[in-house]
Amino acid sequence: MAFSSSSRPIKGKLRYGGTNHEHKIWLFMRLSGLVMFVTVVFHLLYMHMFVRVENITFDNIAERWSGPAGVFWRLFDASLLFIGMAHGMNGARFSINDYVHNKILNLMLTGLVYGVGALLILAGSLAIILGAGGLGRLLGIG
Amino acid sequence: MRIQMRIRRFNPETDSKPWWGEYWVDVEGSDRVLDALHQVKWYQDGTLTLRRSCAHGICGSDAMVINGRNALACKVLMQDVGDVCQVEPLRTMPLIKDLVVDMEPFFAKYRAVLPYLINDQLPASGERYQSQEARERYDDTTKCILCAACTTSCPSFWANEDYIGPAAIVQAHRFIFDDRDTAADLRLRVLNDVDGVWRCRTVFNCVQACPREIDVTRAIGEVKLALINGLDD
Repeated sequence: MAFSSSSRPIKGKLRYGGTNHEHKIWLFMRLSGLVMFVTVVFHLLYMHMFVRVENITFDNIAERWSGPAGVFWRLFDASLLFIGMAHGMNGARFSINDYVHNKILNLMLTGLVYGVGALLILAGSLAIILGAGGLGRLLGIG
Repeated sequence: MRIQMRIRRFNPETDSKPWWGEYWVDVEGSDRVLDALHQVKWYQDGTLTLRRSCAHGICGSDAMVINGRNALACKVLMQDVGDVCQVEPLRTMPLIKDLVVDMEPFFAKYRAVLPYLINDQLPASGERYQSQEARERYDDTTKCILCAACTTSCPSFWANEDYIGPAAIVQAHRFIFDDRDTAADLRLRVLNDVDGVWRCRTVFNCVQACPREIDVTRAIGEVKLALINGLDD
């Protein structure tokens, strides 16, 4: 397809139509946004109105994560962790791609976002799997 | 009434950077910003350079930033601009002189979406008929006059000039949803680019800027949905 028939040379992109996964990511951002609207509002209401902020302690979390209901809470917190981090990291990627046009700097910043994100996801996952205080016991500082 | 015009001036042959020219004009409230600009050009400073053609909101050549908002100078009344009327060229586009910007990059993006009817099948006889309902499907986007007010009001475009921009998407929408056209897949492939519709962050500046009152963000949303779900027909 001949895209350009200009009388003057034009700077910038003229060819569009490269393959990418942006449409899947767009759909993910909408669906994860909808899911988080429910889960984050529930989380906020539960922690602030029901548990109340002054009662949120290590023991409170340990109790919530124990017993049969603990399975639900761990799964719920895992969904907040994974969906929230994926949504947030992707949002940061959007901003970097919008504003940082230097390819090397773009790659470095995107790498930083993914690196820090992966560390946070790892720490959060270990905490959820090992239970309250588990990460400290694992590291011998609990 | 007497109103101060603050006009962004730039002569590439004498100025190193743009500056504000200040002029006083006597206008009626029912005069348009274009009439005030004419007063400056015709009676005070003939070097003021601007584009305008029909002067009636149809040709789209006098889009500019008026008091911070993109609009057509021939459609904004002086009674609505306040005591000071500040006029600047469209943002982001390469500046040529005063209020005139280089529209070539804009039209290159327009051409990229194949903005013409593509159908190799000849109609059985005479013209290609279309039902009123089928025509209604893309009615809104037929109103575009390619003034670039939407594209140059878009923060995604300010940040990244490779973004194809709302105007090109509106023009693609006009043909993608036309049931006489057969090249929707070609246009959708163009718009599926990383710098295609996915750069749109639904800021809605384009809707505010459009002098033809096109629901630009809705049109972009419909193209996104067509890329996700496919076309209904």
